[in-house]
Amino acid sequence: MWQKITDNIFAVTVKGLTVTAVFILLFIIIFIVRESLVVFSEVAPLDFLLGRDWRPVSTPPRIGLLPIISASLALSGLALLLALPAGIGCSLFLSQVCPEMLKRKLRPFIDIMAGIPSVIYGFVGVVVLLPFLEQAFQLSSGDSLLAGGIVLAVMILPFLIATTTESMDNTAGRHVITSKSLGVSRWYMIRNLVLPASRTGIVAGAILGTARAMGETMAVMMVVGNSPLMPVSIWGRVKPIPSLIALEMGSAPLGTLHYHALYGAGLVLLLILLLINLVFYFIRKKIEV
Amino acid sequence: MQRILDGFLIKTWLFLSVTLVLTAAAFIISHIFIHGWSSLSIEFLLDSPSGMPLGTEGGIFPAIMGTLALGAVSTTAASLLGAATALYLYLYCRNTYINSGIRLVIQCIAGIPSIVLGLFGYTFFVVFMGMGYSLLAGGLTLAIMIFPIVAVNTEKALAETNKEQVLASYALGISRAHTFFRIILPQTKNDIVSGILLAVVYAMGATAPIMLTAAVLSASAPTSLTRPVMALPYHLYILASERISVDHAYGTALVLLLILLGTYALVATLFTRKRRDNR
Amino acid sequence: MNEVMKLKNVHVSYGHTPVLHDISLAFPQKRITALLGPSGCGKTTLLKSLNRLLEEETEASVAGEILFQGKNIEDIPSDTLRKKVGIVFQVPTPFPFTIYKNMSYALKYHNNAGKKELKEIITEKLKLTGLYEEVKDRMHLPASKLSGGQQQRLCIARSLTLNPDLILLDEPCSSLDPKATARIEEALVRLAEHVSIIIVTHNLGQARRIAHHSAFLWEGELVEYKPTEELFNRPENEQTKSYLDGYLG
Repeated sequence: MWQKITDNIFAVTVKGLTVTAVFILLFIIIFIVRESLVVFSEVAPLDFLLGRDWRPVSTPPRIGLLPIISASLALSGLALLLALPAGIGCSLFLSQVCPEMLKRKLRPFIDIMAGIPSVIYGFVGVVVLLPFLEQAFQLSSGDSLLAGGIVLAVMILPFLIATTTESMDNTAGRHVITSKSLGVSRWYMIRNLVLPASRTGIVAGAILGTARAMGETMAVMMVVGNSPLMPVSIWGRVKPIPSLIALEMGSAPLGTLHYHALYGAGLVLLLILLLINLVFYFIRKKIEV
Repeated sequence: MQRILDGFLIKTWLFLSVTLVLTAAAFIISHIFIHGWSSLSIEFLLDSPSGMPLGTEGGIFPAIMGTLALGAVSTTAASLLGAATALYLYLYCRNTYINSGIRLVIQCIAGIPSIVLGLFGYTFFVVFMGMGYSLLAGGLTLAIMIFPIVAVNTEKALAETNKEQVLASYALGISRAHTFFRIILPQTKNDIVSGILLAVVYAMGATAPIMLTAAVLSASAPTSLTRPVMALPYHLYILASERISVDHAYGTALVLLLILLGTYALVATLFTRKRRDNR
Repeated sequence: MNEVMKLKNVHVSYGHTPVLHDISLAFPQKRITALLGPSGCGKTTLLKSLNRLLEEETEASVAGEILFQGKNIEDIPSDTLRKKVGIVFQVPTPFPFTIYKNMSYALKYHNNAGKKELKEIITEKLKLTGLYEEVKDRMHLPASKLSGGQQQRLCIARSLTLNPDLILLDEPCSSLDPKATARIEEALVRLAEHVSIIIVTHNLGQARRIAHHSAFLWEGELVEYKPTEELFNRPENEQTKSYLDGYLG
């Protein structure tokens, strides 16, 4: 008797909590989408995405996200550019060259890198990177697209390395033994077998890293200058979507156009991330085949 | 000849890459340790911020407490809901559509950048629900952020259970609840706890969700859910970006780093062991 | 009631993949019946459908009727069914408890037996599988320390604690050496006086040694079902013949 009662209480609790969780999460998603869509009643989607002026509190308000979106894309692109060479190199090392013992010591190191909060990366960027850039390049202020790209590159390295190493272990793994039995040197094998075979895995990792970079807020915000200008030079200041939201959240009263525009920017970010993740998903599927 | 050149180039590339990455990681951590160490004192850890502007003197005690409180609130909420969801998927869910649906929802939430969650938290908890800047609003926003981590980690832990033993238990007519407590939980509790601890760490280090839901520059140590709190990441951000006090910024960063690394160490030593005898 | 388990036109599929076609079969009471056939022909699936364990595992759909002692198993609550139909798997699965606790686990859940009663039942069941003498001084040591054969006999004894009318065994000896196998076969023959037994086996010698009846399955279909000696000596079907020949050479 008792058993049945406790069994039922358990089942009801677990199921109840799950239903609660799912409803709350669905509510959040719907809420965010709804608050974002309001902006399109005032501004046409194309104007929103491609407009070059972001002045939501002027009269008439101008809500154009192009510089902001471009900034996000440019930052991610730059970060990838800087991180890929070292990231792939590291992955190759871990996957093909590194002895097992050393590998076990290095893995936690890289995992810890992934666990350091964004604000600490930003802080080190402010106190070390910015003065360095100012000195080395004779700038009055180090806040720039470049600074943001560098900080982001360091932040996405652990993710790049983890994904790429895993993919290299999987895809190239099978062929490595065959190659070794053909008496070929390790370096030849890396250049002609491992790298080409892991191409898809590397792309997948890069895509994941891009998604990560686009969602980053704090570290970027602290070093990038935050002016909503088009990213034309790496020395210029920019304002990506997360910084936009973070800095203007407090000054946009509920229900105003500005407020909905910020949600709209958030939605655009979500859609870009969704797109990136879909591409990642399809590439992953291709690997599994 | 070509081969030898290639070999040399690749070797150099790999060597440089590894050196670069390791140096960057080591640099960041050691830089904070070196510059922050001198700021660490009993007063720094136990006093409230003071001086003009606020934060140039005194300590960060309320921020430490605030961060721990935010961690506690968010983890309680996220673990209850996240672990339950994972349990449901593992024990009860037989329908593939519901299974995929729930997974999809979890993935969607995981994909929302923390700043957008902060925006939601501000709009919904702070303003709409009238919580104002509060520990509760911040904690709940953080809970949304870490819910997917708890759910996924708990799921992973449950998947490691010895399936045959679970089946054998069902085959004896034992209920899911009883099987869970007697067979599944003892095997998985360490992994579940370490998954939750990892989520706590993530919550305590996050700034964006609490910027406009809970964190302020100055508050007393948290005594109630409805008042705003100080938090280490936010305090660090303000000290650094407003150039209030570089020394104290280093100190704050170091304390935050110590808490996080300490928890990682705890997870690594206490809760991760080589599983050799699961049968 | 001469039949402990009866299947009528049973089809089983995993998702869209059919595994068992139109199986109609009746298992006799208090006898040992063997299920034979090459790997992948559906023997294990058939077994797991009998105590509704299939629904725990996979997206399996079962069509047709399965009657346990005359009643459709869908109409019997699954925990009641499982008290009457026990199962032992291919690889021994002792729980991570002591030997004693392995045996008392199900008992304590279903009944409110006192300590003395528990001990009596446990001793009796261990004796039935011939394990008692070997473990009586080690009851509070972990079951994982037992040898493979002992663990398997423990699993059989464990399933007996609920006094089932039928026990299902899925290649219980496949991971054991000949000596341990012999012991289990001995135990099963003794058990058959009280309990009906259905055993899936790859070991044709084993079927001949202990099974009163044998059923031969091929690619999800029931091909032949006869008293064991008849099946082996006078198989009617081509597939049966070639299967038996393949082994007996």
